[in-house]
Amino acid sequence: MPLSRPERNKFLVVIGLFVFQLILISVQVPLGEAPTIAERALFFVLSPLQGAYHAAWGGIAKAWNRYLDLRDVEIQNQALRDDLFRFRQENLRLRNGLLELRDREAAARLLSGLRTSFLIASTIGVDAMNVQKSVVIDKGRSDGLTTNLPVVDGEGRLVGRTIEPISLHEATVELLTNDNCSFGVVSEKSKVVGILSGDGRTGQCRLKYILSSNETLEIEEELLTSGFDRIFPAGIPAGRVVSIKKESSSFKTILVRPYLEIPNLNLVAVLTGTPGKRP
Amino acid sequence: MRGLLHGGLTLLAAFLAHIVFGKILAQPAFGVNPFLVAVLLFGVVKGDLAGAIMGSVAGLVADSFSLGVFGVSGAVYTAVGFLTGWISRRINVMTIVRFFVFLTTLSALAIVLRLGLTAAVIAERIPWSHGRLLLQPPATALGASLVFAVFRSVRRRYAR
Repeated sequence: MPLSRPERNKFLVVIGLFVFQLILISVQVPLGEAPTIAERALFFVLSPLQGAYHAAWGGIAKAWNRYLDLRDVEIQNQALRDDLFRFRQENLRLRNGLLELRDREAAARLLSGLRTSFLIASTIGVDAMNVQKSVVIDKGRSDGLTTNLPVVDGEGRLVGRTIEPISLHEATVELLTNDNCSFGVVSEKSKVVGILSGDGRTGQCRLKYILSSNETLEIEEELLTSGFDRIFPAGIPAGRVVSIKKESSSFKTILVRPYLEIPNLNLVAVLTGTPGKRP
Repeated sequence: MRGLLHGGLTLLAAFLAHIVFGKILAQPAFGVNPFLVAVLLFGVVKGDLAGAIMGSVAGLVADSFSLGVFGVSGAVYTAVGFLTGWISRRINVMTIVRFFVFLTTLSALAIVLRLGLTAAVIAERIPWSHGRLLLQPPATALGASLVFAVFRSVRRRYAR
């Protein structure tokens, strides 16, 4: 049965839309995960909406919290004063200890850099299609963010690194569970060095290139960044070994449970200048 | 013009749901994708062509916040949006059970198409998440059914 004209036009529009998407795919494929101009443009237009929502919601929540906090503000204030006094004392002792241990000028440089070495950011969006791959944070180029800056959670544990697209006030963070994310790690006790790669299928990571003959690495051992990749500074906790299997190949199959917890990932710190980073 | 407004509002609602509940909804245990919910509902309510256009736009928006291949969700949601409208005009899907089964089938189709297309263009492995991926179609269908139930009751109230 021949199609009527409106029906035919409808099918043509749908086919046109589909072809348009296929063209976008064909442009994207050679670039890998690097964003195209169209993707950047959409991110630049839509990401401020995420920021605006979080700013508005944050404002309401803050006002409500302020109201509630008024009740026991005196007690909290006293506790904070005590804490502040103690931290000042600790800080003074640490400074003195550091100056004794290191060259005076180097120590002064390190101390002056500490305050500007990280930037606190809120996660304002997740990757709806691939939850283990990326999140969006509310800091961008205007805050000095660029690509390849390490991102850690409130406990100082590794979350990932900044990647494109980065707009003026928002940035994308590639999570360490993304398939394409790999970085150098070293085990805490046995000092085994390997490459930790994301495994988006399971939300876990794999420790690669550990020889089958290696017997020193143990289950539940903590893995820290080694700094050899020159992106992540050394010593950031990344996860724990959950299983070690010997297979027919030369290398072991080692599964690692990352510390990363997306539902609890409200605040993160972007390490903008990392003192003590390996040269 | 009215259709454009409805489409814009639906997309905005999906985007807001993505912002507000994104961290919870995107977990494999829940697996509800607000953009797919918007495409399915728009297809059912407005028909095949509107479903395809909504799918095309919502897919691109979802892709712009994802590290996947830009255009894959657009292509998949275009097809799913069209099929949702086209099939729902030919068979009765307005009973609760049929509606749920219909949306579950189309959500499953969306996942199969996305995985197939992604595997074909960048040879990516399937993110099974210990089998929890299989929960996504019924979860998305349930989410869409709940939103549709609310939409229908509101529409009835205004029609009186």
